Amino acid sequence: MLKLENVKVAYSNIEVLHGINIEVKKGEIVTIIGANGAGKTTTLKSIAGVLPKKKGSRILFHDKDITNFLAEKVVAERISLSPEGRHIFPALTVQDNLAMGAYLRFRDKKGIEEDMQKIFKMFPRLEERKKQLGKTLSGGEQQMLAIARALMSKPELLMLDEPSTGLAPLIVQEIFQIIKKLNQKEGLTILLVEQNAKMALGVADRGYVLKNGEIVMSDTGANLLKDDSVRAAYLGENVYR
Amino acid sequence: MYLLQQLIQGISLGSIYGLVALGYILIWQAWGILNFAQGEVCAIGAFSLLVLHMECGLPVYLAFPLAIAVGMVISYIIEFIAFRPLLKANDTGKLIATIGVSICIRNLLRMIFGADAFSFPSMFGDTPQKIGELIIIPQNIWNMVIGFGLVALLNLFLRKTRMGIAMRATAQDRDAARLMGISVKRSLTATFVMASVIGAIAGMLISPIYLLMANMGASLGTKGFAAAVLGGLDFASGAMVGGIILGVAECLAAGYVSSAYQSAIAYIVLFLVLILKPSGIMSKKKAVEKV
Repeated sequence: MLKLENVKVAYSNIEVLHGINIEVKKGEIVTIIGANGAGKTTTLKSIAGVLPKKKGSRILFHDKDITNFLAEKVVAERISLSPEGRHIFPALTVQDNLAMGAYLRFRDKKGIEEDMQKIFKMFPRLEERKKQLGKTLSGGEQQMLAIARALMSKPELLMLDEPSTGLAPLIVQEIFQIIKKLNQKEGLTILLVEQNAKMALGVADRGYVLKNGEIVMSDTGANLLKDDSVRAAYLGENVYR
Repeated sequence: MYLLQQLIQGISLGSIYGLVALGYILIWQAWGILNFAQGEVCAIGAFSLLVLHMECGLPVYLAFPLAIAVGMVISYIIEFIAFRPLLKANDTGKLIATIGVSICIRNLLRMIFGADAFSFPSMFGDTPQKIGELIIIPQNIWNMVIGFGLVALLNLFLRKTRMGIAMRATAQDRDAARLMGISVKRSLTATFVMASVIGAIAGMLISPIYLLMANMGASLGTKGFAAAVLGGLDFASGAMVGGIILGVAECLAAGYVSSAYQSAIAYIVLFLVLILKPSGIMSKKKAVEKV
């Protein structure tokens, strides 16, 4: 479904992604784990069309070259990103935040209304707060809103950037259950970037380990969880005991 | 009665200042720029109306919308030349660009129309209505009606329409707006043109009250800016409040002290606000840490 081939991204002169290859197949949850500054967010942003890619990079979606698509066009291809730090619109109501998620679907009023109801069923707390401003929500609710907003564009591929940041463990659990449900019940393909490697590998079909802008390992989620080097570096476990 | 008369005058004038202030605030919130050419945009509106109504002899109901269209086109050109290329420039650069635009327009107007003042007939008839001892000029009422009407319309647009909400979303978080598929450039342009049109209408409304001059933008711009700062740049609702307080203060000063002080009021207000409550009267914050 999605293929990254030799993707290189630089911020001014400093190259931070050194030609990475990633593949996401339909129906999968794929995760990219790695330390701070490894290039995880950069990877997602480059797919979303927010960052320019260096020559020779290729991003294919359904075999269509979307490498140099701008963000607006990437959304139209039905890839949507729930960004790091949530980035909900603070002074818009929950309802308007969701409506903005469906910005490009303006011809499909009925579909938007149906999806909004579906999302309220999935996130009952958002329905309770639908008239409230985004900034008045708690951190967990804001994260749910960010995910829900990304869903409103009716994506085929949902990209989630650090959905667990700054949330209480119970809420992280809840968010990951939702991610799993979206994948299993709705058949949504998900590309998940996480620092919480344990949670991420727990739900993922496959995972990539990103280190200093390079993919150093890729395997199924379960195998990566068992791998000694992964456990030592990203799960904080003492494997040499 | 005299007081009431001054108040009506002040609110009418203040509605116009409020519209000018609204232009500042809309652009500030969307672009993060104080557009010091806002006053000149008002002047463009006034002069367009002058040409269309007085020179070409079009009736007001035709000249008014046409002048708005002229304002739209010119503001689009300004945005294209002077604002869009500076989207990623630093704040000082942007600020200086807006000042440059204002100087350019002011002098262009002076080249075309000369430095002399034009008098402008009231668009709504000059016959004053007497209610008791009060004398009400139709222009006064229309200023208030159009001023508040525009604010109400704008509010409705920004809250209820897809484009309006997208414009607010862009102002709040540009990056997130792009991820929604909103064309940030288009949204910013729309905001700029809208702010300019509101300014142009303010210019048209004020021209029968004050003389029309090539450098009218400077004083009107300052007053609108003072009103915007008074209401608080982060609060669109503050524009009208700021404008009316300023308008009433000006008229009271003219009525009770001396009309010589009328123009000084804006500066005094600006000065006081910056010292006492830099975030504007609409904000709940006590003081701003931002410099």
